[in-house]
Amino acid sequence: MMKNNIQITLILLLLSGGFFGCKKDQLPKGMDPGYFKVYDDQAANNRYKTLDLQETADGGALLLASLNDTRIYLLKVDKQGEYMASQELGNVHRNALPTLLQLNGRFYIGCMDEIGLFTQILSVDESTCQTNMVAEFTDLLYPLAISPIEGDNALLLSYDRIGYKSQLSKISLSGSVEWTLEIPVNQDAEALVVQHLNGSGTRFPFYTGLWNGKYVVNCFSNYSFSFLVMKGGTNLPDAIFNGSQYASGTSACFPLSSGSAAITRFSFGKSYLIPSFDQPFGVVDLTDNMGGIFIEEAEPNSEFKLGNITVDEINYLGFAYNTQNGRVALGFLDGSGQLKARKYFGAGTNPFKIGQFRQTKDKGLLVAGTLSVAGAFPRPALFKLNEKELFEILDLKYE
Amino acid sequence: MKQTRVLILLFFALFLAEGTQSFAQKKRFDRSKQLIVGIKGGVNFTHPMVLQSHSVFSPTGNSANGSENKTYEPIMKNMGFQGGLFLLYRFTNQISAGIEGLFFQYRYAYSNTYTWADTQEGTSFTLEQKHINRLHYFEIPALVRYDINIRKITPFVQGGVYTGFLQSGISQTRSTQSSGQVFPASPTQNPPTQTNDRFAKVSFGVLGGAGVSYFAGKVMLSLGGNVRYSILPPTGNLHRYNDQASTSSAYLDVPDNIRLLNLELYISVGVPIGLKGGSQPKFGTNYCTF
Repeated sequence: MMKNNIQITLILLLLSGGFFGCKKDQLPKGMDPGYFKVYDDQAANNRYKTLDLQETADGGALLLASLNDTRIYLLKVDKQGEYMASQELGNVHRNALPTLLQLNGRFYIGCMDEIGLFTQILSVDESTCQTNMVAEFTDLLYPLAISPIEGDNALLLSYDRIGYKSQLSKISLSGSVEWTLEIPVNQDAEALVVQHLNGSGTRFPFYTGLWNGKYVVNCFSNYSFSFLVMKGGTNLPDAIFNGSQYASGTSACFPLSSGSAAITRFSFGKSYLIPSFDQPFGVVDLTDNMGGIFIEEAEPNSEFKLGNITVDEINYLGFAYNTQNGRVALGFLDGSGQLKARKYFGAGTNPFKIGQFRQTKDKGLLVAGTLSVAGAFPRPALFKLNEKELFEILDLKYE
Repeated sequence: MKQTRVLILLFFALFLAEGTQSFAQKKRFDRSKQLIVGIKGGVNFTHPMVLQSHSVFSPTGNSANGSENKTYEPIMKNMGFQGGLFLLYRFTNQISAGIEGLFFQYRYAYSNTYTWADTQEGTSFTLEQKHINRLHYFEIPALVRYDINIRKITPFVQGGVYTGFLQSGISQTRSTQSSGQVFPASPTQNPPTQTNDRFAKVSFGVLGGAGVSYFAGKVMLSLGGNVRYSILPPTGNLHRYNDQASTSSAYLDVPDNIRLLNLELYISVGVPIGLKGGSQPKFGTNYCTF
């Protein structure tokens, strides 16, 4: 009788081990699994480069990529990362600006007219990737960067090939230009611009943005690649940091809630992260004097992406870059500038390069980039980390 | 593999010879209230049953559907091994129950073939990848056994449940790239990668099987087979795509949601322990003829 009881107890223990043990392997209720997807194209001669992504209303994502350097490719995926639709834009629209704009709940891209070299703004249907022209700016040639500001407005960086000037413009989707600030380059930089656009030369990290009500622009200026802080209405910048001609400069700028900004910069191949940089005023200096933490493992002149990542109600500064061994590193800095965690994406014979990362409404994270399949075929790729996986990266306990 | 087959054949030959002799003697044995302890070991073969396919590749308008589907190796090519201890208590001459502690390796493999064509250069590029997964569990099966007779050669059937605790999940990828223009086919064997977090920490399933035991003096020699069916899928949703080793992006490999059907073949040797009426425990000391 006693032995019978022991046997029964053992069997019950086995059963309970199986059923209770498996619980910790399961996703929390209501949470979607993370994923990693590559959006393949069997045409070996097609080369993609993921530029940006935005989460869509259905929990999926819209990706913006370049195809063979100058063509424009849009891709829509569902909540599980599965392909839904794509669109390769026609010959007229070229050189997508590397920002997928979200203005008043709708998506837009900026690009260049192939013949006239002027700026175009297209709306993008988030379900079908179909595009419609909403505005043309025939006076703003060689568009290089764009960023959203209030309402239906955007900041646009372009290059004036006649006057040898960079131009920062406040434009609206209706096609009007509120103002244009002119930044003299003092030399003909058209060749550099063309090489940047067609992928035959250096890809410069042009960008524009808002910082404490002022405008920041990373552009050609005064014989160099420069970082400028400007007010609207005057061509005189508040601050200017020049690169060593075109071999150094900043690569990303992300305003923080504290009023300062996180900035990354490059200098002759090396990359530096400045976790907190006070807004300058009345400064003329070199980007090489901006300081920062040397990022040893970053590939020469790596792209950097900065953004806010909230995990367990704590805000972290996320910074992503390409490593020398073909991976993407995503670092998490806390409010004091201390590195709390680093997560790597990609490995092995399939190098992965950063496109963009963005936090999702379900508190997960999307990391889009370009994966060179078999080291040969660059394709858009997308990682999704769910909230639990973000907790694990930061060594936090998910309740 | 060949050695295993020879061993199995030899074992069967021994049982057949002894069985003929035993049947002629028509002996019956009293084996009730005995506790038997022993060791067992053998090989197993795994057939993954796909519940839901997963792939790193999401087919787009420019890629053919199908290349992302895995081709699994047939069961007899998926050989693993197992070994450990068992404890069997014989309630009556024919009914017994036992528990085992086994180190159990499941092995299964699958392959994918991807092709890219360059329409401008007129070339094509093929990537063939074979992914081998080895799952190591500490398994505890609990079995109820029924002996069909109580002779010296005793066929039996058994069934029960098992719980397994994952010790390690190891994945290895062999890649072959070939291009008609530039590269000769060059197989590359990547190093084994620890992929524990892609698999569930605990497995649970049912098993059942049959075999035959040969009782020789103090020793119970058994040859048997069990079929296992995992009720809980060994692969988990939690880190299917985002495991620590970045296996999905490194090797373009992500496991399907599967259940494992496994055929276990084993040989075991057991001896009775403890005393029965104060005498030396021995199979067949009390027997009578029909």
